[in-house]
Formats: sequence, structure tokens, C-alpha cells
Amino acid sequence: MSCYGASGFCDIRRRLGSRWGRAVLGGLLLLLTLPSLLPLDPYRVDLEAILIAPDAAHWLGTDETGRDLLARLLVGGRATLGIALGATLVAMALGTLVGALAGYRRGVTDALLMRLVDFGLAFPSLFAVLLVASLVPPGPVPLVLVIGATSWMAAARLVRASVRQLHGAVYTEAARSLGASAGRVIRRHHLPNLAGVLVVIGLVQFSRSILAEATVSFLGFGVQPPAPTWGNLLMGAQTSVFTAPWLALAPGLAITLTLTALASLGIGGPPSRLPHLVTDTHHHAHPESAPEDSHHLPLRPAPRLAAPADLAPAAGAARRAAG
Amino acid sequence: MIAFLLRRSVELLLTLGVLVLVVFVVLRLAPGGPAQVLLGPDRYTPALEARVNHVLGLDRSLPEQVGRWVRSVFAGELGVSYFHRRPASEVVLERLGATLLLGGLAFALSLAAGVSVGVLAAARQGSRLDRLLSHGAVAVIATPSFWLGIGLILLCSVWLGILPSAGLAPVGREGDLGARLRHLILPVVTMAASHAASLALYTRSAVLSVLASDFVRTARAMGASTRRVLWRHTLSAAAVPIITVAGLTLAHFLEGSIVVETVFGWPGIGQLTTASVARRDYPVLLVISLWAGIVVVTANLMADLLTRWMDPRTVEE
Repeated sequence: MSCYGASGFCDIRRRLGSRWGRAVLGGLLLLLTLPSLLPLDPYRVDLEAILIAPDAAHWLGTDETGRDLLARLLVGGRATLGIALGATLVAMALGTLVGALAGYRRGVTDALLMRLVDFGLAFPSLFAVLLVASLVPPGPVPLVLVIGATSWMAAARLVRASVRQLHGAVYTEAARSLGASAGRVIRRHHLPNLAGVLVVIGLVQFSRSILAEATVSFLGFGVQPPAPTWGNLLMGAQTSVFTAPWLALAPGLAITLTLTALASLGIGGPPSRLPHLVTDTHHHAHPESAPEDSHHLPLRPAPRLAAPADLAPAAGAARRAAG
Repeated sequence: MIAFLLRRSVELLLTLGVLVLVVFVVLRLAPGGPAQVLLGPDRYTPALEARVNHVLGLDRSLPEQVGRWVRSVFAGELGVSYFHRRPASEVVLERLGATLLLGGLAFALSLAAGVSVGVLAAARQGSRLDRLLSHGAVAVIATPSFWLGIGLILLCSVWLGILPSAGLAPVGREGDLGARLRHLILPVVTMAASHAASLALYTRSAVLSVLASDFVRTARAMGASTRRVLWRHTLSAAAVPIITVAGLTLAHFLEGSIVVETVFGWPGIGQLTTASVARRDYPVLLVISLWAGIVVVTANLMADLLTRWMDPRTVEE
């Protein structure tokens, strides 16, 4: 299909459609589906084979009750990625809703919603996740909701900025003057144009959610053992790190490799080819690294290459020229 | 300037108020309150739970509880820890030093390392060094800090045996400065790593975009040395976005402390947080969130002020 119009969308489609992009997405899909198809038993206790280092029978070794680490890693990966996927969808839905509303309505609605966003950003999100995780019985569904509910702000900011930009477009004005309702303009005209931005932000959000799940489970407030996730595998590994280091290495590597692969999608290619204007689309630490649409200080020069700005159509062209 | 400060302060105080209020209400809505934890499974009876709740004031209506708490805060009382049976502020203050030491050093390290690596990579843009540093940074960001911590413990404590793996200092040698410093190295590096890496990438791109501007070319044309152009002209222009990001990062050191303190058995606020969440120690959690709010809010204010000072253009609003 030819690509015209919203160049952000073209850019991300080009990146995801490249051989590298397909490899990464395919790998993730495999991680999500494979454990259901393979005859893995992550719970089978084998007291004859406690804390065995990696060998032919147990490729990644066994843990303190003789369970096979490879099986636990694969099943745990499905849990971690599944939770992250769900949380991303929740965050994207919330963020798009809030951002579109704020960008479209402006005025008081906008001001109030953006205060809410600021508040959400100021709140240390891990703290929020821990608080809520301690209130409800731990499990995958609460985790999806909690991580989603504490990470929608970046998407909201970006969608708001894009909607404001699109709002000035002639076709929007035309649609409105023909009597289209706000909902219709947002649904039919804005959202399709936002697709590219949303996909990119979704990818970033996905890596952050993987980290969030791993962190919460590592601290013991996430999915409870014996059910494995990458995070609680690491929690379990910490106690025997001196005697069985392989238990810590494999889950950690799995997380790092997944996140690096996701980050490379944002950069636009295999890690060997770094375009010359790169920055943190894969950033997990500060969700709003570039307050491009900052409403406090309109003159603050927007750092051009920070995550949200990097996603702007113009930057896409720059990257093409560079890469 | 004063008007700006005043307005920001009011805004920030409001944010702080809302934050603590939200925490308060969320905690009270929790099923299974502190009574169950305090009594333990053996002594637990519904009658005893009701009595505990009555003593703690948890049987009153939510608005009443909020009102009582707000009044006591203004009277300087932040509540008594259910678990420690001491003023919650005292419990938190005891731990504050350790966290501030760890966080402060880690912040300084990430700032120094991040900015220098970023400038270095930008100065050698496209070179093998640049690629190495940039890819290294991407990889570090993709590494969860708790795994990095475990990895460093494996490497330095288990295999090389050169650094201690946990705690503030060896038991009985708390006064030994060298030993204390050695205990600091791994947690500080773990905490600083991902922030340093993201700051490096950020600095690199900020510096690169400034390097492309006209005044840099002019400075070069006038014969300024590369070093002067880089450190004097470019970095001061690139500083504003870097400061903004660093300010926001500071807030995230709070979250970092929760994870890093757990990995390294560091007796600070982070460990206290996870323990208090598990114990349902509401007063302590409220004090911690108040403290966290103050840190976040001050960090943002400082970043704003620094930005205004560095770049006068941002003053006109």
C-alpha cells in the first residue's frame, strides 16, 4: 500500500515492516504464543535435580526445588509480555481519550485535564503501583490495570499536542463547518492521523510496562510465585545468587534483550546502524522527557530530539535522510 | 521573579496537598487494614479488630478521618507508626540520611558521567567511539536496575571478591570511613547507571543540534578552539534541556531507591516503603509520600529556576 499523508505513520510502518522490525515483532509473538504450544511444565518439582547448573537435560539449569529454568523463563515471559501488553493497551486508551479531549476542547477542560496529567507525572509511579498492588489481591489483572492507570500521561500529552496541531488543519475546519460533531471529528479525522504517533508511543509504553511488571514482581508485590514472571524469577534468584548465579543471569538477559530490541525499533534499525540524531524514544525513566507542549513556559526551547519531538513527522524525514 | 516564585509555590503546595490526600484516601479504602497485620493470624478475631480500629480511629467516617489528620498535620503531628509505636516522622527521619547519601551521590555521578559521555559522543559524532558509547547507553537503559545490581554483586563480590554486596558498613566497623565508602560503590553505580545513560543520549542529541547552529559556525570561523566551542558555546546553549531532564530525573531517584535499597539491603526510605506497604503502616506511608512529594516538587521548581537563570528567554510568559 502506498504511503502518503501522515508521514509519522509511514515512518513507523516502514520501520516495523523492515526485516529487522519483522524479526523483533515475530520474536515477541513467538514468546507470547510458544509457551502455550510446547509441553512445558514450569511447576514440576524434581528433588533429585536441585540447583543444577545448565547442562544437556536442563539448558538453563534448575532452581532450588529442581524446576527447569527454561520452562519457567518461557512461561514467565508469556506472563510478563502479556501483562505489559494489556497495561499498554489500557494506558494508550486512557491517554488517547484524555489527550484527544484536552486537545479538542481546550479552555477549562484542557486546563483541568492537563493539571491531572501533571499530577500523574509528579506522582512517583512505582510508589503508586506499590500502594495499589498492596491493596488488592496480587495477580495479573490488577497489575495490568494499575500499570496502565499510572502510565497513560505521556500518551495523553502527545495526543493532545497532535490534536491541537491537527485542529488547525483545513479539512478539520471543513468537517466542522459541515456540522460534524466533536466525537466524529476526533474519530474520523484526528485518530487516523494519530495512528503513527500512537504506534510509536505504544512501543515505548510497552517497554516501560515490561520494566514496571518486572520491578513490581521483583519487589514481591506482583504476580506471586510459584507462577513465574521475569520479575519474580529474579526475586527468587536473588536469594541464591552466590550459589546459583545462572538463575539470575537468564531472566535478566531476557528482559535486557527484549527491551534493547524494542528500543532498536524506535531508533529505526538493527543496533549496528545508529542514525545520527537519536535519543530516548525507548526511555523508561522520565515519561515526559520533552515537555514540548509545555504550557507553563511557552518559550522554553523544546529539546528537538527528545521522545515526543522525535516522533513528529518532520523528524521522521530527518531520520530517513540520516539513516 | 517574586510573583513567579509565589505562583509556583502555591501551585506546588496544592499539588502536594492533593497528592497526600489521594494517598490517604486510597489507603483507607484498602480491604484488610492494619489490624489484621498487627494482630497476626493467631490472635485475630473480628472483635479485636474492631477494637484496634477504634483505637486507631479507623472506624470513623472517611471525611472525619481526613479532617482529623489534616488538623493534626497543621499542629505538627504526623501520626504514630502502627508498627514501630513511635512518631512516624521520627521513623522516616532516621532512614532519610542513608537514602539522601545514596541518592545524592548517585545523582551527582549520573550528572557528571552522563554529560561527559554525551559531549564526548557528540564531539566524535559517527566515530567508533560514538557508536560504542551510544549503543552502550541504549543497552544500559534496557537493563533493569535490580538486575544490574545483582549482576554487579555477582561480578564484584562473588567472582572478584573486591567489594561488599550489602549493607551500610561491616558490623562493628561503622566508624571506618574506607569501609563505608566501599559499601557505597555498588549501590551508587547501580542507581546512577540508567539515569547516566539516558542523560548521555539526551546530552548527545542536544549538543549535536546546537553544534549545527549558526553561532557555533561563527565561533569556529573566528578561530575558537574545538574545546572552547564545545564546552563554552555549545554546552551552555544545550544546558537548558539537559537541566530540565536532570530535574525530572531527580524525582525518579525516589523510585530507584526503592529497588536499589532492596537489592543491596540499604537501610533507607526505599526499604521502609516496601516494608510499610506490607505492614499497612499508614502513618509512615503518609509521611513518606509527603516527603516524596516535597522532593519531586522542589526538584521541578529548582529545574524551572535554573532554566530561567540559564535562558532568559523563558522568563517572558
